[in-house]
Amino acid sequence: MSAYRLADGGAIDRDRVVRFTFNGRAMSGFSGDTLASALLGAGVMLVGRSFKRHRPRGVLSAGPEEPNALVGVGEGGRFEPNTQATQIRLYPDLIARSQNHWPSLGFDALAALDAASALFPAGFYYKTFKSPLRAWPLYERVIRALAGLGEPPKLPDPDSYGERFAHADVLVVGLGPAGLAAARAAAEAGLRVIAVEQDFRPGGALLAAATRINGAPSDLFVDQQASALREAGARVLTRTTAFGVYDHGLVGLVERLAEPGQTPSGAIAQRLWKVRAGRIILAAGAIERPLTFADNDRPGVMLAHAGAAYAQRYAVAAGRRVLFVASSDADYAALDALLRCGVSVCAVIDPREMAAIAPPARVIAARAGEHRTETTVIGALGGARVEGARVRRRGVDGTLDGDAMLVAGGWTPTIHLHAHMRGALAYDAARGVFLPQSETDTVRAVGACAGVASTAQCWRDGWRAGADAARALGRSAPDDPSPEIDAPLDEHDGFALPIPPRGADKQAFVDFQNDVTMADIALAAREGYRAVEHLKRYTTLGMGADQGKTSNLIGLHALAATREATPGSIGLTTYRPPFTPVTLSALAHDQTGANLEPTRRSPIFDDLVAAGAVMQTSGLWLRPRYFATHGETLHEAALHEARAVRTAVGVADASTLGKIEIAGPDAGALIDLAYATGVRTLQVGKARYAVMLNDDGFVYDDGTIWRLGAERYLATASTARTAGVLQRLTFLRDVVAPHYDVDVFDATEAWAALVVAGPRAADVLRATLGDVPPMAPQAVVETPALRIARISYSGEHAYELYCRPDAASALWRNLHAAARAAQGALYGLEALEWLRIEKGHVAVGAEIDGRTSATDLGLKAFIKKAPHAGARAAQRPAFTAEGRWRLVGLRSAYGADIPEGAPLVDDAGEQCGRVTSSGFGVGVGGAVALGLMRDGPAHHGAIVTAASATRRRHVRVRVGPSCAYDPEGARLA
Amino acid sequence: MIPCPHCGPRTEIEFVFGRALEAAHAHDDPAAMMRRANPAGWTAEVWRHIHGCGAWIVVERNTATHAVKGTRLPEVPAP
Repeated sequence: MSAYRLADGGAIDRDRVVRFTFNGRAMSGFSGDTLASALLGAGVMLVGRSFKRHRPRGVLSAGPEEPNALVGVGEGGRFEPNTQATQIRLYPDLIARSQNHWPSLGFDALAALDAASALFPAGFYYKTFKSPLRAWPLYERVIRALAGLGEPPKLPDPDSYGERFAHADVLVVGLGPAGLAAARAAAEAGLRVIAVEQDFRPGGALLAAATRINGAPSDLFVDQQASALREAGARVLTRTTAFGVYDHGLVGLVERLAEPGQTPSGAIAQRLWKVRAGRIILAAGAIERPLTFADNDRPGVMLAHAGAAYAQRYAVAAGRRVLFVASSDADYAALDALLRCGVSVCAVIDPREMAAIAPPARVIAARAGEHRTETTVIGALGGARVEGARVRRRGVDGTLDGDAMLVAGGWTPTIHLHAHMRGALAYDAARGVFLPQSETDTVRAVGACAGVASTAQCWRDGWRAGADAARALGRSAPDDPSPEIDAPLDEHDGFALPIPPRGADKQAFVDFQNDVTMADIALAAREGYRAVEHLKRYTTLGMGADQGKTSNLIGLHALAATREATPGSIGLTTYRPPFTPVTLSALAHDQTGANLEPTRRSPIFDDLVAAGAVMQTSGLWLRPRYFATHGETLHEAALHEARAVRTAVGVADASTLGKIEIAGPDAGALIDLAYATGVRTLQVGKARYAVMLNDDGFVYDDGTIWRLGAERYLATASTARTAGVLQRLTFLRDVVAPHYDVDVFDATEAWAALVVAGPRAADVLRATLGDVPPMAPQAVVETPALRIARISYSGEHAYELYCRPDAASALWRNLHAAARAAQGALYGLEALEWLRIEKGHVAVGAEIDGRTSATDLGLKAFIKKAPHAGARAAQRPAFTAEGRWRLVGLRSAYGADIPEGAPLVDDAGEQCGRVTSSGFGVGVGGAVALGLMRDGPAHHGAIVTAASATRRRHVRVRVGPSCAYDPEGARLA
Repeated sequence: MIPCPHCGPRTEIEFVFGRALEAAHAHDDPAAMMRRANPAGWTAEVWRHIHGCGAWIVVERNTATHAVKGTRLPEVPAP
């Protein structure tokens, strides 16, 4: 047993020893410990090095406000850096190590930075590393190597994380006396209650105090309340943090089922809750502040109530000769708890004169070694551990011996969740804190976070809030059982304003995590960073993992003192979620990897794979890029496939194409409104190529419109644009023309689509389907099971066949067999690209990029004069101005492949366009590309350079018409 | 929660914002299309119930508090 573990007491199970390692050293604690209490119990005070100055640091607090004791825990993929030791429930075989030192925690070579700290005042790198400018890359490398806290895990997280939605009439955040009362009142009234506590034990401040309730230790009372809550049907979640409040009563919770670095015992490590709460009762309590004196960051300087918590709850003494530094009468409650637990307090230091100290406080102090009144602490002695205090009484300096200093600097209400919903805050000048001014629509703050000081009042305040919630929902509110609370000094206000911090001591730390001192705040104010948000960004005050929970208000008081202003007139920085750090794995939960988004597969996906398809993604879809039947490369396969289409026949899967059915008396009118191409003359049994514009007048998509009946149409859309086309069609129908009587239905998955293209397409069709009547170009034939249109994207005689998805596999195999017999082949997207490029067909994402007009793309002939969506926008002067980049065809002048995406450069060295798509034209026999070029059609015949800097390739290309292959369309006849 | 006129009250994640109602009605007027009153307070917008009935609806929303007052089906715009 270490000298720091008290002989008895504490909510720990001394029969259950828990072994762990810290920096490789084997140690042990007890079940019920946190990592911090186990380390302190083992006599380890030095737990880390500070961020900037590498000063030795120890445990400051016993809760989520901890700025110093950040450790890395776990191994491999479960390793988690920057974890607060005060927040980890000790578990067997926990592996923890300290951070930010080299070579070791005890001897840190970078501690030299502290000696040189005069060189690193606030904002130093804005000033120091400015010149010479060319040296910045070197500076940056050195600074980056030194910067950052902790190391990220290098392996993927092996654990699963869950997500759950829940609804509640009342969500209670924090289960101290106020939260327990609120939850109980609401639950007993029959409301649906969710009550969360970030600690693994409910009780809040009661766990750290020597309070007795109904004549028994408060632990018993807390356990009774928790079971009463569960019996009344409330969901009580411990080790669960409400990290943010959002609109409409949405609260994010993270429930930790496994501790950081721990192998989960169940299926998941953590669970993200999204709770919709009718009311949120915020009972988050308050956080104690440290005092600002020189070297106030020495290991062994700890918050007074944290010291009490370690003694009361974990039976751990912060030191063997403790100095207790009080600011107000209420602080003596912590002293009382320490003394009752048997902690040896050799001196109590209080800046007030004896007469100003409440008599019960004096009685408590009399049980300690000595009571030094009218005395202020001006510094801490010691290095890796505190060795004493420098004190001043009536202008006379002296020292006091001690191995720990427990400091009470007043309390800051934990109002984060109130502020997340932009709840108003009011500055309480008498107490020096900000308090919720009024309830927001959803959040009501109760207890210490609302500035209520005593345990008994907190209980009553919480009960009232729970009862009010019940009454507001028409339930009768239960009576307050009014427990008898015996807490020392309970009537004294713990929020009483301590002496405001003043001075410019560069060893007096305000923000421990970011090494921000009183000197840095004074410097920032002197240099004009006098707004609180500027102060934060210039000094980094309040940044980091703890977000200034112990420091923000001190910094604000210090800033106010430099300006002779009040904190109320300066205001606070913005509170933003999360309240405490949330691991990204919990936010992502199961939506990672293959679950990130759905994968869409063609109905004949298995047949495609069996035929050797190599897939590529196209939006959410997987589509065959090419068919590697005999181990061909991409280029070899595409060449073979494209040649088959040009010389014999090819069969392809086009099931991913968007298929939107438009039906009703006003179907024609809606299409007329939505598409820039006229369809009024389209006859039943015919299809037509059509262009859709966006509201800005640029081309949005192109496709075909099939007229299946008098009031029935099918519109196809590009795979990647289907959702957008549907969005536009429904917008025009619902908002622009709600008087139209027309249905719009996405039938993409109701039909499989197969394409047969090539000079022998009609033979293959006949061989597969039997007698098909001859179809003229653009003709559409419909049977109940099949729709066939004679339309072509490849430039060859071609058919699109739509059938039911469950019939597609058989049709595909029959078409494939017939095509093979006709010396044909299957073809994929790569071959299709080659075919459409030499034919001059534009595609979404390449030429249709949201910045090209119909005229730019050579589609002017498809634009009607009659009104349509986007027509007026397309008449803006810039659309017809000279100098627009317009579609051209490009042929390789000397045979080399044309680099896709390359800028086109003229002989003067100026960029005049770019290559949008590139391939090999099997029809024209050479490399072909499409591009957009300044006034392109005026430069047919010119030779320019496709200059790819990234591929280091410059290829001379000849500019020509976009359609290089069969411009007369003879092959389509 | 957004009360869909077709489906009843549904959570906000089922909907997608479209544009301000004034901009929706000016969809074919390039001069007016980009103008926004952008009030800090109550405004009417068109949203689509994309994970529900798929219809476009008018949502009365407070841009300062994100409160939703009500919804309705779009009316035929005046000629």
